[in-house]
Amino acid sequence: MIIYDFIYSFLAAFFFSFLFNAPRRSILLTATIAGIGYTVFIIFRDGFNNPLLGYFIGTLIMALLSEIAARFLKMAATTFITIAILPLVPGLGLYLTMQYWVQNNYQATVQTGTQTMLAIGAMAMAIAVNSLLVKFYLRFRHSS
Amino acid sequence: MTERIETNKIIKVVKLVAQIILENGGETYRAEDTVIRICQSYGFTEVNPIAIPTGLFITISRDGIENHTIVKRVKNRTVDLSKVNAANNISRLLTEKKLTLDEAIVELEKLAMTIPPNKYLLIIASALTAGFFALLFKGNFFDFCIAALCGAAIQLAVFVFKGEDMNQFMTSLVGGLVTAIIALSAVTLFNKGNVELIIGGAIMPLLPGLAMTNAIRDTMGGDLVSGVARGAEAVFIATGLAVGVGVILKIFLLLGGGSIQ
Repeated sequence: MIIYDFIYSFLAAFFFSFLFNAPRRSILLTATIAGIGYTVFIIFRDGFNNPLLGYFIGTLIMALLSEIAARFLKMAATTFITIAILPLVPGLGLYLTMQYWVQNNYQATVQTGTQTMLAIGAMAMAIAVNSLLVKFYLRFRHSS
Repeated sequence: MTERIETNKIIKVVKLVAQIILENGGETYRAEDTVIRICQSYGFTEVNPIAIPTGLFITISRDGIENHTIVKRVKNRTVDLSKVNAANNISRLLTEKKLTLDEAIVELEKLAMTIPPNKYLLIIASALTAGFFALLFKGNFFDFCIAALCGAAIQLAVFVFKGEDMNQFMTSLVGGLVTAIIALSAVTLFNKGNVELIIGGAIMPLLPGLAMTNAIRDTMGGDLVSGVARGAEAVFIATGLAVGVGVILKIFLLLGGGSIQ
């Protein structure tokens, strides 16, 4: 059920906000951004069977929503994206890579490890594309 | 004369702002942008800030002849988004001239020593974060409870070792150890639950998620030094976690543990 994915990622990001001492005004919005981004990822992973694209689109949506929320609440975009991105970080993949390695299952280690690294790469690409888009937007707004 | 006093105040303000941003988890480019924006609004034509995760160098000049430089070492790095945000606010008010330099210095110095949040709140938040990540990975209620226990234990371990010279590598190493011990013994003891999901969920709060993505983004954006530094930090933290969990897993496997598939 996709609604559970939304709720759990929302709650995880919500409680994580306290660990990073996020400003109280931003917490609900951050958790919502995390939930939306993760749900998009799940749609791409399970619906279209394309997890990498899911990591990219999910992170991009999170980053763009964070920029919008930052303009809206007059806060730094870092406040939102630092926490919202967390559900997408492939922690399970990192753990499994290590577990296979300890079990001397090198084929599975390389397979899982590569997938995890690619996922992180896709997320970084999305963050980079987002900052490019923001730059273009600012330049466009200044020139017009 | 007044110009010189103002210059000294500005350099103090930008040092404090950039320092607070770097020490509390802001990106390096944000620290640099903030410095540039504040100085330009006070009429400095040449502003050259360099921020890396471990320090910052700022040189500003009105006419290109008389230069003012400050170097600041940044040692204690944690994540406190409220402070990043407050520093951001102060810099915005400064550029809009709604705050004088003296007021800004007072505010920033107050900000640099705000007390940390409630310990119990942190433990509960850490527990629930870990628990809901276990649920997110399709765990059941038992996995939720054990992951929450691991999350609370990680936060307790962080408090216990905080007084010592505890860097992020040690935090993640100890966190990994504690998580693996609790998860493996609970699953073996009750003979139910899923070790992968519990450990995977419990280590999520410790993962250097943004450090990894920032490292790649900084490198692509040309900030090579901070990109490499952040990358090294992320690899270091992830290695600490992997070693912590891995040692316990290996011992468990050697003892003939059956709960790992």
